[in-house]
Amino acid sequence: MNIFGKLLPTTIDFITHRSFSMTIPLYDLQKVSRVHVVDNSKLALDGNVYKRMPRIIHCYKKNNNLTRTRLTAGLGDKVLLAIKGQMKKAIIVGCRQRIRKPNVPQFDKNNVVLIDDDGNPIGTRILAPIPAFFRTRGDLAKIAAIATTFV
Amino acid sequence: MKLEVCNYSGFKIYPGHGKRVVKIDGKVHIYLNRKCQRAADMRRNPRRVTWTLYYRRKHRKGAAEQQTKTRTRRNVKFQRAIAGVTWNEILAKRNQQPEFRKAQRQDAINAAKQAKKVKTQQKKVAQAANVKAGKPVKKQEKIQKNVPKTGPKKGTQR
Repeated sequence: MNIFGKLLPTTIDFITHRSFSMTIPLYDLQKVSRVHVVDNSKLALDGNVYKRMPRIIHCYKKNNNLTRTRLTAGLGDKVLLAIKGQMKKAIIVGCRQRIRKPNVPQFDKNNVVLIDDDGNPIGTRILAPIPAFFRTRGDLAKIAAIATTFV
Repeated sequence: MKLEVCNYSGFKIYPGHGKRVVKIDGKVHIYLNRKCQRAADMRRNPRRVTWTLYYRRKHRKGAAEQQTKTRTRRNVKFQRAIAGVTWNEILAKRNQQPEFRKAQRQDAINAAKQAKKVKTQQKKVAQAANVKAGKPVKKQEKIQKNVPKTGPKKGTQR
């Protein structure tokens, strides 16, 4: 499954004579990206089994050079989710994108933790491992406080 | 800097190399390179993949493994007494000289001969007496007495 997602343009030349450029599929999280909530709050548990997966509808990111339609979010960024018909803010705690920084792991799923408008997490426990740098960053300290395991 | 070990191949991962992946179940896998990660994703068992450390360990490749294997068990010989005979008695018997044993044998033989002589003489006297008295002669069975008690017979259980 992973192999097909990471085809480089050079490898599909045999398919068509016309060469067109194709960016490598990115695992950035942006609008309409489906996401997995790893809280133990009620909304999270319901939202994961709802008919529609929780989706990002907005990324809050300061000093972003990209246009509004291409806002992307990564590890540690705040986003706005649509869960179970509601809008809720959340922080990304694990993403499939490979981040080329030391000691930052890659996750198999895009994990997210729900927060309220003040930045406090709604649930009381996080069920997935969390990157270790959450402990050192001040704005993510509240998430790190309720985390169980660090990676 | 801590040296990681690749989950798949078993090789050491130096700083600047390798990739850490968190699976859906929360388990963390550390891969040395894309080759290891791909093989793991393909669900190839490292114990069947020839170049990994786990395969080599399983099939005992390499000189170091062979050395540790040649340590064999040694049967311990234990000297002990048997019921009825103490260890000292066993030792005494074992340490008897052949001349001593020969002499013992000779003594036993002489003693037996002597006893036999005495017996036959007694029998003759008894027979003569019986003939005189007119009684019938009984045939005496020969009872072999095992006279030499300390006679060294190899293999006997005491």
